[in-house]
Amino acid sequence: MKLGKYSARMALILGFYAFLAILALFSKAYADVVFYILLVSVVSQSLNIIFGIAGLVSLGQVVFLGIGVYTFTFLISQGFNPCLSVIAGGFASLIFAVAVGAVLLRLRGIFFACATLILSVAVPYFIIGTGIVGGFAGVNIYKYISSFYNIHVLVFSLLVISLFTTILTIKILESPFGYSLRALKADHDAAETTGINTFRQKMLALCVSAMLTGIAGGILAIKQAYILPLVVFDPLYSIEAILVVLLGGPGTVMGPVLGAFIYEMLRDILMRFAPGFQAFIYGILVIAIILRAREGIVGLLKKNKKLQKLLV
Amino acid sequence: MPILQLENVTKKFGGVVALNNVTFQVEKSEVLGVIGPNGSGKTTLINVISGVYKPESGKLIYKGTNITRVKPHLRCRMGIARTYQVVRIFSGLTVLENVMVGVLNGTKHGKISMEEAMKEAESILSYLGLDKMKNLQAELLNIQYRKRLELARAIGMDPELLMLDECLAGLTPSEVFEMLDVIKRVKEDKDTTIIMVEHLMHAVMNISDRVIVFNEGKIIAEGKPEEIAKDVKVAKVYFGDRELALKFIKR
Repeated sequence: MKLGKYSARMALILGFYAFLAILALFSKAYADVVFYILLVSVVSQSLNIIFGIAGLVSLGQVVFLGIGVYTFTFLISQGFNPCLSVIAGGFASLIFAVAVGAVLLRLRGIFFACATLILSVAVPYFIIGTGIVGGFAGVNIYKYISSFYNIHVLVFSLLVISLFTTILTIKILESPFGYSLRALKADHDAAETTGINTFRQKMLALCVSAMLTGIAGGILAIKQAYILPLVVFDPLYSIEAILVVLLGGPGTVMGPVLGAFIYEMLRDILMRFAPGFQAFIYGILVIAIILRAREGIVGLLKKNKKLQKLLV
Repeated sequence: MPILQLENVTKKFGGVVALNNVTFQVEKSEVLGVIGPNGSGKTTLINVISGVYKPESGKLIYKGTNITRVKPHLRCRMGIARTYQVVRIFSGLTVLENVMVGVLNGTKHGKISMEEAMKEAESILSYLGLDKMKNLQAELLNIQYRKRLELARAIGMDPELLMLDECLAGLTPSEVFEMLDVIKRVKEDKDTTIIMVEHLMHAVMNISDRVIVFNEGKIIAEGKPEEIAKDVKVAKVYFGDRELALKFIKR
């Protein structure tokens, strides 16, 4: 699988990001929509690394986002530099991933999925129970961030992270690491007896995934300003990310980005014209994808021979 | 020095003793046939050697090193490769990519670039007559080619010890003939030591330098193929009856 060499593909990817950037510059309302497209996109792209490429169904991606949010909140209220706090969020998520991965990655399939879900539900209650960083009542960080808050800067930062993740995904898919992840997705036991250190590779994938989501979390904290545990750790983020990956095409490079774009646009339209029906329509969408398009939108588009060469 | 030695290896599943105090050795560059009725412990033997199962007691010594507690992926990098009884290829990857995974993670792990791995995988595919389908998704292959692909992946790992678990099962007679030909070529060209677990008697007798016979987790006979063919004990476990066995051997 040679991806990076085709400049047409890179042009298509860059073109899409440029389109999002221009959309964000139109108006404040559009900037908000693009912000959420990119946020969902980064979370889904990083989920794609463990779920789409390595085949580990994680239902708790939000936990890494939340840890990013909370690390940022804590550091900014201690007077740290905002950029540093955002990056620290990524590292906090990474350390958390190493700690939980050491145990959870020994589980497979449905057991891993359940464990990640339980974990992501447990962490906010830990915050509420212990009362750290504001506990149940949350923290208002508006006074710390109002001096530099600018939606366009946030959109731009997410855009850079998303683009970086896209390129990273291409690099992973082209590397021996990517091959071993795809092999262990296909057959875990056979991968082990083909010389792949499955535990190490899964751990690496989880770390990359957690770190990128954690960084996005720091940026989400700036946008939200009021940090509440049950809002930040809403399991809906995890489910959304799964849905977006399935919609876009698991294991593909641009799938999660396109998926996030369509998902957020659809949400915007549904909110306006059919409020209250979102969950119902998403449900139908999931069934349709599973029945008709296992490879998501990118898979469907790839059926066209001309597009096949352009899409990754 | 033998390439692999098993010393008093025992593997139990609950009350079932799948391998009972098994001791034998495999010499460098030989083809060792392993036969026996269903449930006699042949596949368990392969699983213990490749590291999928840990034995309850006993020792495995590979090229002078004790590998009893070594993880499966590290055994692969030391040069032990295997195929499965029920073929386990990597679906979602192309035929070429399947072999590349083997090349990248075998004995050359970490010492080979992606380009070199691709070239090596291509040469192995053409060696095994799979080059025309190298860009197909692996799951699209039929059983004959799947078996061949699994073998190609194992050869890609550049093993010194190759274990084939019923690689002829489910093939038509002409396919069996082709597969045996491939295995013979691999042995001659690469000087690989091969352990071959098989049900097809004529195939094992044809290709093996030495045969061991398992029954209920124990080795009941060991020797040259001709000797095994004449062994009453062996015939008895296959026919279940001594008289019938004697009749068969006389014929």
